[in-house]
Amino acid sequence: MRILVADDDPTSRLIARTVLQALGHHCETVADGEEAWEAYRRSRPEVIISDSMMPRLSGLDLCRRIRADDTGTYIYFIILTSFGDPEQILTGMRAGADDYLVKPLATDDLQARLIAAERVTALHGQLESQRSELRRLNDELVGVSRRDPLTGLGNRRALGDDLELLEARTARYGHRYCMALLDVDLFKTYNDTYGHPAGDEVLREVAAQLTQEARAGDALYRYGGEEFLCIFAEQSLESGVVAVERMRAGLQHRALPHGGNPVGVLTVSAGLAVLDPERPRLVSDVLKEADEALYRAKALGRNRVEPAVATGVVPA
Amino acid sequence: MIDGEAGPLPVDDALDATVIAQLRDLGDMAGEDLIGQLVELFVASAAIETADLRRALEAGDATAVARIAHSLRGSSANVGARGLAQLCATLERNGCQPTSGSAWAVLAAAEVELTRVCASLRAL
Repeated sequence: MRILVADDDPTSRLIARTVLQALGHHCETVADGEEAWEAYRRSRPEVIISDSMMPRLSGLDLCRRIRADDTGTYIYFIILTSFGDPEQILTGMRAGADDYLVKPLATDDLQARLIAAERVTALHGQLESQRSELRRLNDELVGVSRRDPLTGLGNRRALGDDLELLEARTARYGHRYCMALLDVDLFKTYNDTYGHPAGDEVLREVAAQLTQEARAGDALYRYGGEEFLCIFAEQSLESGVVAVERMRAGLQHRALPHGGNPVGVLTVSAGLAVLDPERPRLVSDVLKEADEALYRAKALGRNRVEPAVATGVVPA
Repeated sequence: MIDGEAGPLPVDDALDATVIAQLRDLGDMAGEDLIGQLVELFVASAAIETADLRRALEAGDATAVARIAHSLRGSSANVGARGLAQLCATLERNGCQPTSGSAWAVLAAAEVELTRVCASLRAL
């Protein structure tokens, strides 16, 4: 084990180091509590054997400081007291020490203590790795429950959580969000022509295309069957239109064959609306506006991007 | 300090034979001259500490007396100097009355004992 010995008496340090090295441990010695604290932060020992009375920082205060420093790894702390100081033992154990030793150090005693130390640190290590595995699985579970399994984009649940945040941020901090609803043109025809598995596959392709065009900070969700929602943070309706137009053109350029589409390839239509602090309202109203704009895009012949008219921007 | 002050000294009862035997075993186990190194460390630090004790007593610094006596008690016990450790313990306990005559008497006894201990250690 890696053991740190803190003692202001050089003869005690020499004896401790000799015993520990003879027992096959790696040992570092320091002369007071502050030095021990620095060595602890630098070399992360598994066991600390510290004299209780030391200049600058006592062994008791060192122990309290280490217990307060929660790094996830357990440090086995043995407090060393001089023969005839029984009250120091109790104070030490109360300060967080795992065990105590009385000076002068006897090899057998030290060896016995280190057997316990090895056992306890192994248990703590096991506990910590189980805990981090649990944390990882939990994170994964949260991630899975917020992702649409087909496209890998955020699902309705993630969207619900995120929209609530956006509404609060707009009201409190004056943030602005541009929202775009994108819908695959004539998707029902696509499914009827190529079958549902091919339909699923093409939705995955659309999601990949949107992800490719999106920039850091943009959020993408699968909104419904063949409908996607894109949220652009701090974007105006105008710049949102530019971004979505890039997505629309990108998908058309990808040229996924769609026999039932007059263009011959798969296309999307999109409607945009903006949530900004100048016009505070519910996110659901903004989404409704975007949906109306999307409807207009469809009515105007599909494969096009339409901003909401309510904000004063008149479609060209 | 008090080197050469006394004549030939009995060295057999200054050190605890059990402690010395344990240190010898430990040194053999580690393949090091542990006793030699310990004697060197102890003789050097004990000389400084007794001088510091004297100064602290003169200054009437009770905290310093207790601290230094505690330290010397620890290193004495490490080399098996039981008698010296006991004298240090007395000083550590009564350090709050540094000006009292008894503290000086105990210190003087400790100095004499230290000479014996050093001679015994060197003879090992």
